[in-house]
Amino acid sequence: MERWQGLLLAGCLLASGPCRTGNAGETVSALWDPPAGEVIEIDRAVILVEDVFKTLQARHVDRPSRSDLIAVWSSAANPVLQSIPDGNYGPLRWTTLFQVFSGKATVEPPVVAKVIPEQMTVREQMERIWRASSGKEFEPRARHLMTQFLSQTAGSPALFRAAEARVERQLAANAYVGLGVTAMSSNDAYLKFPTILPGGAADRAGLTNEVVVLTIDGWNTQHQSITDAVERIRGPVGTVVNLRVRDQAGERDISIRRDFVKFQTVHGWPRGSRRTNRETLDLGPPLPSLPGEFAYVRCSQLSASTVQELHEAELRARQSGRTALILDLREPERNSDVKYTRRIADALLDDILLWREQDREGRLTDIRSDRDCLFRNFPMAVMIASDSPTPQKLLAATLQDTGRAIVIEISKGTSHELERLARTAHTGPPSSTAIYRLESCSLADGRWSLAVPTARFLRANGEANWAIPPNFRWQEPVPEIAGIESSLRTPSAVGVNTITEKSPLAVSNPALPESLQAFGPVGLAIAELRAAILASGNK
Amino acid sequence: MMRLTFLSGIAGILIILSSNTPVPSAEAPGADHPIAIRLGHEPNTAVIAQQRGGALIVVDYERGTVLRTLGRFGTLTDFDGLTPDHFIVAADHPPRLAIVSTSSNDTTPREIFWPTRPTAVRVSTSGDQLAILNREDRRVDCLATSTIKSHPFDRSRLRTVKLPFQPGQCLWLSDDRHLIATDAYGGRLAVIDALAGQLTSVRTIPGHNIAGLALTTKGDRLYLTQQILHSGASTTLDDIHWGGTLTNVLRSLAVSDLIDPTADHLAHNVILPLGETGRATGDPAAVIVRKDGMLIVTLAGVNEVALDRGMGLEWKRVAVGARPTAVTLTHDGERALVANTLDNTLTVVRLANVSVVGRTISLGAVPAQTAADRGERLFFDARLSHDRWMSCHSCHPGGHTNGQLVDNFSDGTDQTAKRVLSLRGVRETAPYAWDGRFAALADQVRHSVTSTMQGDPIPEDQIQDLVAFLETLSVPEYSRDQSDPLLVAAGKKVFDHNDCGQCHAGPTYTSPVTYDVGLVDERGLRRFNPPSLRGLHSADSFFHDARARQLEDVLRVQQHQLSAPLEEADLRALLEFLRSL
Repeated sequence: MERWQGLLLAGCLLASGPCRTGNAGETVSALWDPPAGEVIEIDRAVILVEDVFKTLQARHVDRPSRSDLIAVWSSAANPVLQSIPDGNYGPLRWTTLFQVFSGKATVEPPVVAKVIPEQMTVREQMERIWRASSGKEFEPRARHLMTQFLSQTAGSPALFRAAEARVERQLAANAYVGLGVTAMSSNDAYLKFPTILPGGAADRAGLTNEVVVLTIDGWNTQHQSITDAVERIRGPVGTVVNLRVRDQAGERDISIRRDFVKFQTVHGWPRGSRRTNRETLDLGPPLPSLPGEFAYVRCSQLSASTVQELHEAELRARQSGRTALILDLREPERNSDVKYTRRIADALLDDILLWREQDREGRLTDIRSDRDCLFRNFPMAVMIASDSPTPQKLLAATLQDTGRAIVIEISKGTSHELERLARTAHTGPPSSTAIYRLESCSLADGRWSLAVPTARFLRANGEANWAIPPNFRWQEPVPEIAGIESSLRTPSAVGVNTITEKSPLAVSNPALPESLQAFGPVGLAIAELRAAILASGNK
Repeated sequence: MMRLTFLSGIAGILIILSSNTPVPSAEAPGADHPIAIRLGHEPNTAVIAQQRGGALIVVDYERGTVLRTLGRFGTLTDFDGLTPDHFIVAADHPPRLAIVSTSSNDTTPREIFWPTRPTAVRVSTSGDQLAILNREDRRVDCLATSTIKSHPFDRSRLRTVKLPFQPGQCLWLSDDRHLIATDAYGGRLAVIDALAGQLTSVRTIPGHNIAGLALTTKGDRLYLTQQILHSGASTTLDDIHWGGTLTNVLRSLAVSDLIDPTADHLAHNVILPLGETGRATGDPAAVIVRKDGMLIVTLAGVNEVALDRGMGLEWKRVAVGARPTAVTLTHDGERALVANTLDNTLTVVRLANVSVVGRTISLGAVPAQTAADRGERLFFDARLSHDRWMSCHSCHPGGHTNGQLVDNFSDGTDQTAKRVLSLRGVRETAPYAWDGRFAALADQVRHSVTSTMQGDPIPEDQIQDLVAFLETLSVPEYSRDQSDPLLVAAGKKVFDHNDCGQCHAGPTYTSPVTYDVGLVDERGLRRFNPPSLRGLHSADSFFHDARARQLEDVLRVQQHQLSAPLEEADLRALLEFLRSL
């Protein structure tokens, strides 16, 4: 039995994401890694793969043929299958596997390619993989096969367990239903709620942090899987879960009505202390107050609630006499959905073509904003990170395309990012930036849900490339990666991707007036907005 | 095409059952329908117009007593004060105006024949100008109040302005010259130069159901209560939950932007959201602004009054009676008098601490409730929807249509937003939904409550009550003043010659099957349930996707089911026939 070691959210989640035990890859890999005691069936895996193929053929905007999909699948399966020699494969460490998959290493003992995946059926591939695992545990090299296949498919379809898909949807909509607690195991192997979120259903019911849950609707939680426990706590809004709990006051029974768990997605300028950058432990000195004419809004998620929250932010900005807006889309805390990007773009723009959506039949639908416009007449700067997710980039690009805002891109200064900047310097703007609308499709057995790209987003000018050439760039210094050629740290630099030993970190960002230097990239936004306002006034 | 795209209401978490908002029951009072309120000339009195009661009621709001009842005017539609003790009353059945004195020694009203149904009257702040709206005729008549007071009434001094929509409310600006008239169903505003008798401009604001109008004390900003049905949203629980489907707002516009026909009327627009997730405010109605800027709004769908002292960030709310639709301030400005339409009562709200003063004041005896009466209460009750965001009325104002598109899954698909249909005459137009999937009206109602409004299921007797109310909704007659019998007869021949009756068969001008008429929706639906053609004169959008915004465009632009373009004379005749239905 699995012991509860991790921290799970039952009815709420913190910044880390939905109620599941790991990253997206592991969710999918659960297919290959059924609960203990469950018989591994090749048939089930093959049926699922075929179901994914059929669904993509039927719904994907690019109308892929089966042979297209087989080619992508084989491409993903190739490294796995070619790494399986005849007979059993020896023990292999995860770190080595990662290096193998990323092309940075070969495994020992050397693998001899004896199969040609393109010539094998999916079933034959599966059987080979199963044989390699002796039928007891799925071949570890193939755990991420489905994930790899989907990531190599246009629009990056995503496969979720049906229950997780529901949770994902709730989270994207900021309409998560639950008790408003986090969950983990107690010392005596019961379920424990280490955190009770203020205002949540559990909080209103009087539960306090660290309460131990002995039973859920009569089901004893001791030595049970945390996943199973969380699943029992979840349920439709308005329904009741009965708990037997133990806290300082002793044991008692309590009934709690499941309710929506609300997360704030719009935040103002932090007061008193610098906003936490999860990559930076040193928070630095407190941030100064923003200049009086600027409103600052940070969106930690683009969700169904964001427009409602922006309305309040706008009223407060007007009330306090602000006349310009800095919209910070960096550092998302939960997944966003392009569906809600549309709402937010609509809310921030006045009667203009946002983008077009092209469906499987090639039909184009104009997506326009209505005439209502939040922060009307506020000059706007949008701040995005170089690795911002698609919904944030879609919003930033749309605001830029429509002339509503200037875009400031902030790179975090990681080695990966510096390499990307160096590549950009050599090859021009990044290329890979198609954006798709994903729709959930239930797969045949009802246990899985496939998010399928069913429409392609085209910019107002008809382009499918959503690369954002930022108006301005800013690079955050990250001391711990010292050692990169300094010329690469300048966004405009056309340097050589050379790594030198312990070269000093000398970030070269646009010069700011002294009064704005403490604001970092926000200072750049202020300076550029002021310049834009001045230029506009001079016209 | 479907007859019923019904956003009717039943609520997600049936707030109906909460203790402070009792579910409407057979015992609940209602009937006379107070719809408008003004201060009386005597100390501590207010005058209230009862729509169905057909009378003006003079109430002592300090003592909580009815002092007297004035007149029986058939069905009252509105009233306003000409002088502190003289009121002009608009009435129907038969259509007329009346001047009524509230002085105890002068109780005989002077009636004025009015050829068309007056639906609203408004006197300017100075008391010098009067506007009379005629909804079905799409017009406003303006005149000096001295003219209406004189006897006999000199009709030649009327300044009539035709409007491109059916007006619902109007408000004089503080210059005593300009009048704002609102679309009764959609989101249009007409700016009228009343002295010149000219329509200055027609402006469109996002949204519909403009139910209340008020000016700031300085007269520089106009407030409107309204709703916004958002394009791109659907009636999923997630969308409704956060107000992504429909929001209730108080909009503030700069008057200078409205008066100047070349200005962008939304250039200085500010939206003040009413309500929030978990505590929404379906169907905001009347709004008034106190001298110090305090905003007072009645929330008709949730039986509350909300007030805010500034920018709309600190709304405070208090429960009042059923469907509060009218409000005024007491003489001292310290209290609000709220007329509750569906329980025939008056609530006094102390503004300082947002509390109800004393007992609710009864405005008269209440007859026993019929199923239709109970259904009416449900129809206007936002507590039937998830979080109280909307009532049936929200998309079907007064049983008609807001003319908008909504993606409500009534045809079993998503991302196929379709036009909200009028419910007038719905009793005879089965089946329902654009694809005709609901054989009975009760089936459509049940679906609308739980799917469109994301409400909890309601008891079967309440479904039947709603159906009973819907079956009372009739199609308004086309104005005889506008109708040309000869042209109508000619149009009937064109209608028959083109075999329009194959799908739109009389007398209901629909038929119970679906047809492929060359239309297709986003999911490939090709067979549509033909909507009834009755009441077309009051329609402002056509086809499932509202692709035509004028009846003429259905034939001239869309060439709907015409093998060849009609001759101009035939087209005009057919249009006249269709409008006469």
